[in-house]
Amino acid sequence: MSQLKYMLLILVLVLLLPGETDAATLQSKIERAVPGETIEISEGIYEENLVITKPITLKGQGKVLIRSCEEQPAITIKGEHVSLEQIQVEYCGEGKEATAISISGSKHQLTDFEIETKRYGIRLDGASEVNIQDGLITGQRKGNGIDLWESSHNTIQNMKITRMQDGIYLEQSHQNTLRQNHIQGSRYGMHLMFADDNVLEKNIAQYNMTGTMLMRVNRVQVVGNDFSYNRDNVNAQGLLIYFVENSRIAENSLTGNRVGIYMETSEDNLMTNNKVMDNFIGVQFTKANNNQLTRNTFVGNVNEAQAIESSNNEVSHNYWDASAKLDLKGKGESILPFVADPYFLTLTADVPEFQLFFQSPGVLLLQKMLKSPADQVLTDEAPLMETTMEVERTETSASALWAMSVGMIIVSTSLFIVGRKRV
Amino acid sequence: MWNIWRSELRMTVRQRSYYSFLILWVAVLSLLFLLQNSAPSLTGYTNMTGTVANIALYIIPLFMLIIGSFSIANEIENGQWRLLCTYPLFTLSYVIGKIGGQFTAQWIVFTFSFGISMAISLVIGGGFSMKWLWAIYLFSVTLLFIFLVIGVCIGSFVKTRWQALSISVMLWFFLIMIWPTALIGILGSVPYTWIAPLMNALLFVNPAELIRVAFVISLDAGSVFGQAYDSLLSYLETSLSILIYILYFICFLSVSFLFSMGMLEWRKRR
Repeated sequence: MSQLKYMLLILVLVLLLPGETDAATLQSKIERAVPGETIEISEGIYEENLVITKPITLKGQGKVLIRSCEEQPAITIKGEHVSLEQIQVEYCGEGKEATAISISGSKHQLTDFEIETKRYGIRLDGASEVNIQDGLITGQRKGNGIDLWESSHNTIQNMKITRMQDGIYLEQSHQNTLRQNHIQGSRYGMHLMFADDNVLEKNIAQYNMTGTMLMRVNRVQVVGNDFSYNRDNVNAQGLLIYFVENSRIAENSLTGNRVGIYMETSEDNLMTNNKVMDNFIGVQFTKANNNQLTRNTFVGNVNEAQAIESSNNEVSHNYWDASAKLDLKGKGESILPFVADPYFLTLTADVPEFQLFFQSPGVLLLQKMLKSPADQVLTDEAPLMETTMEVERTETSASALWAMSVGMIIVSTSLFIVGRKRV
Repeated sequence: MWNIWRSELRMTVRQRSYYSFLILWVAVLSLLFLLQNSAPSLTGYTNMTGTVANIALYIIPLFMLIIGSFSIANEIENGQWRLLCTYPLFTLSYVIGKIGGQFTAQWIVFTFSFGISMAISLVIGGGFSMKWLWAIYLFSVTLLFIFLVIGVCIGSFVKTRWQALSISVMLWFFLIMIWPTALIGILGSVPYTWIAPLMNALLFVNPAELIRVAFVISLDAGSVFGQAYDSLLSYLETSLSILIYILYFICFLSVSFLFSMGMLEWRKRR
């Protein structure tokens, strides 16, 4: 009997031997790996927190999910040349600073990953030359999607970020490139603070509180982005520029925002070839001086432009669909200066309901009554005759239009003949 | 009713002034199409589309009010109305026949001109979006109809054509030209919290405004009216909107029919 008890005890001990399970954890595999090794992770759910400090590659086979609710990050990356591929992270840490992936060091590579987080998605602290791409980050608007602190020369591209506080947040981080990211449902799409020489290229930030916010930055390139439909908040705008100098905002598309571009206390910036369409206010300047606004296209905005306490801005050669155009010299520019009078702002400032009268036939009368103060109008001395870029133009095929036209003529003519007949 | 309808139609299309409308519409519509063609964007609602709609709003209601009110005032002046009174004719069928005949005639000339103007622009080398054209066409035809009905209402109580003209112009000026100014003036004197509901209600009082708003919404540009109308627009953007428009249409027609019938009946008895 006692022998049997002994055997059972040994059996139980063997089965519960910790060595067996320990060897199966990802962390132990990482510890054992030699630098440069590629660890292929087989499909499954791993409830661990990983710390990677040496140059290895982690590659998921099939659906690999790393889940953690601890205070520390689900994955911590340090050192150099760490690569993460095809990995999903589900992170439910609730601490104020809690983040799914924390990165420091340099030359890391994150590709083809998915993060679902309660707080932050990825945080870069003092990291450089990190490449983050083809990923998906979803959150609960409580932390930033990708947060850069004192991190420079990084590239973030092709990311899809939804429902975060700020989609991508840069502070004290310079010379980074943000390209082709798609951010929506967040507070700010991209948010730059004290970050110089960064490049924002071909990103899409739609349906956020504000598409992109530049604050106290210098020499930033904002090119070819789409900041649209940011209008659900009373302070919403496509692009907010505050204390910015020597930056270039070009070839962006700003459609359907509350304010297309809002610029305050900024100098020496160039805004060119932007498409500003269907916004409540196209561009708004407050205390912005010495900026250049040229060759932009303004179509279908309720108020084209407003400038408060702003001077020495060079506003010329833009296309305004509301301007009266007369080209006498054949130079493609109108000899009639365009005065963007935001009289509708005056009208709707106290009673927003009056916006229903937008382009109402009787509003011409009102326009004279509601003339804006002289210091709020923006004048384009030489507005363009043609737009500076292709504006969407859907045309139905000519044959269908001919059919409609001929059909109308035939139907009405036959009715006319019937109607004329004597009874 | 059908006799009145037919005779009204026949009389109108045989008038010489009818053909001047053909020239007017062709000229105006060709001009509008040319304007729209020079606009960079045909897809969305642009300033140019707004201008086109505004020109239509200036000219169509004015002419329709005058035509509608004259069609009855004329018969009253030349004694035909007296003659008709001796027949056993129901007043409502008279009103409906008048409106129907007049609308058919005006619709024919408008549609014909629309087709011709389209052809002219196409020959010149313009391109259009079908959706935009239909939106403009339906917008104009609705204006045509609604203001003809209002015109007939005016005709039913005036004594002379001169009176009909002055009341038509007055009403046109009020509903089209001075509406925003008048509303802003009036609403300035009511408590602030009343403004929003009153604006919503008054939108349905002025058919020209309602048709214009519906036109803008049909071009997916309802957002230009701002956040204050988000809830109203969310109704008007769904398929439910058809129901609202139909209901509005029925209410509008019954009120105007009842009004003009009552006026004419009262006049018969005098």
